[in-house]
Amino acid sequence: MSSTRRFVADEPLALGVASRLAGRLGASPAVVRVAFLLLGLAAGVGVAGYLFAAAVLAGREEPPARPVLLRHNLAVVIGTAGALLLVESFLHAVPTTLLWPAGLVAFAATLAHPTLDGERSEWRAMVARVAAGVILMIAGFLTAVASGPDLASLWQAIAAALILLVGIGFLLAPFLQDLIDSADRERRDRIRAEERSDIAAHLHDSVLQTLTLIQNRASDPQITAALAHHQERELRKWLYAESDESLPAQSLRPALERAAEEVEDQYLTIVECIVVGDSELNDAASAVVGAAREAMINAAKFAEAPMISVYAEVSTTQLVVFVRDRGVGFDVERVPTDRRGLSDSIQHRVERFGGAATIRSAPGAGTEVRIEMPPA
Amino acid sequence: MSIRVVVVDDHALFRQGVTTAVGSQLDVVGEADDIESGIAVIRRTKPEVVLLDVHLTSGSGIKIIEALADELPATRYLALSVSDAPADVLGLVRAGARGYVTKRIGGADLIDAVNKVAAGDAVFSPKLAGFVLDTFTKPAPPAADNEDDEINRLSPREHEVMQHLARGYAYKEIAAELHISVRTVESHASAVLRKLQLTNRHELTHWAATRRLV
Repeated sequence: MSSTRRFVADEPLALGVASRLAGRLGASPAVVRVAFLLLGLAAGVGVAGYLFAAAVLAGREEPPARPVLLRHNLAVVIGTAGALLLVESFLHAVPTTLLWPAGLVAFAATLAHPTLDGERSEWRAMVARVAAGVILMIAGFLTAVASGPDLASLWQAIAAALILLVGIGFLLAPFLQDLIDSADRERRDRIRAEERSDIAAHLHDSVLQTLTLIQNRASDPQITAALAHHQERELRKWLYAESDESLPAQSLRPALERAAEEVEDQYLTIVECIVVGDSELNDAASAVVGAAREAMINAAKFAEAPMISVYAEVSTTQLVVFVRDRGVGFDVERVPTDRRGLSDSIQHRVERFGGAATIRSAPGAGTEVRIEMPPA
Repeated sequence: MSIRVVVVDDHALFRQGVTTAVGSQLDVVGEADDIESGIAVIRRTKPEVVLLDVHLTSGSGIKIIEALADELPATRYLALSVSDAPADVLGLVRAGARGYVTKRIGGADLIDAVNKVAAGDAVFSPKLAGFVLDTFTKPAPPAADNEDDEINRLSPREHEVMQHLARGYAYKEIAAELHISVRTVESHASAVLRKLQLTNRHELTHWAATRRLV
């Protein structure tokens, strides 16, 4: 009696009759044991049967056990019920009121036990539950009938109702569980599928396009590097849900970083943008960002340098931005007419707000544009 | 004799790329892809410089530096990463890395950086220089003012050197610009690195923690 596991496991408990019979019948030892117990309560028929079976089986070789099947178990249950009926009709020795319901409950519980046999499929588990439920409902019905004339006896009615409820529970529980499970699973699957198609669409529009471009332009290392860098930045932004580009920048740092990214994208170059400190993006600061952007574009267009360095330092005393490249450079004194933009778009832009821009460059020595703005 | 280097990075493709890019000038004596094997390889080969990925699948590269700090004090570390999350970079520098570069660095620049680290100098990428400036130009918290003020502040020259590094200048260019020797630029950079490792500025970690990836 130590544990249910012991009871269910196919180990002999007494003379090993039940387990040997169970093996031959292809039924669960637990079911056979319950059958013997019930029959034993019915005028000792079970005890006699047990001893008889023990005598017959003694010294015999056991054939290989038949597989435990639900219908074998049910056959044992029905056989036991029949035997009980016979005993009752001939000997009137069955304590009906208790034995019938108790017996049926015992069988039901045994059948519904999830560890009844090892590899029961889901379908079979369901059938076992249905059988157990039906048996319990019959037991409840019998209890109600057995209480007969004194229906007023409350506890019997309650017991009957409870047993009925448990029976219904047994019948419905797996279905409800299945319903909940499958609804859950379906929702999860749908979300996963949507996410997957989102990711696929995004990768297709971005990474795959870029990879194709890179394959086509593999001979140009600078464009390849710029494309890869652009893609890296975009993917990072997407993965980590960084700032939304559709919103206007709130302060100087993001505004300048965004300008650098735009130049990177537009001219397929690499702009390394370092900002120290931050400030409010007023008109003067916006002018500085605009001027810096022009300087970057100039560098991207004419410098023929692999990279543009942008460094901005924002403090209470000043705002200064450096845009530097190690490209071909030019003679500042003799700016070609097509590069008028340099003074117009860079210098004039910041001078209007009291700032200044100076350009240092020499052929072959790169260019550095320094943009300054006094504090507002 | 070329410098002996170990590459610890969890991407085989990157290790391969580094080996190809620097193989002619440096002696890549070992590779590893995680913390455990990294420690084992470094212990066995005793390289002069370890190229250490900031993020390894099994954790931060800091663990390698910490595990071997007492055992192999001569081995120097150069941190590498794709992204410049200041918290992670700072962690490695504070643990003892002699510098930090991004993985975008070109082969020639990487060889140069390894040589610098092997010689005991500091290597600042523009990003790291910007980070240093951002950290040190903020007003120091009152608690830090009275103790080790030297450590918590950059000298004007150090500040200038960092600014030029952030602007994308090489040591040689900075030397020409400031009319000092390259050696002096290097010693300024090393001093800044030491301050970065020793500073007790509270907001240093706070700053790094609250910033997202730059």
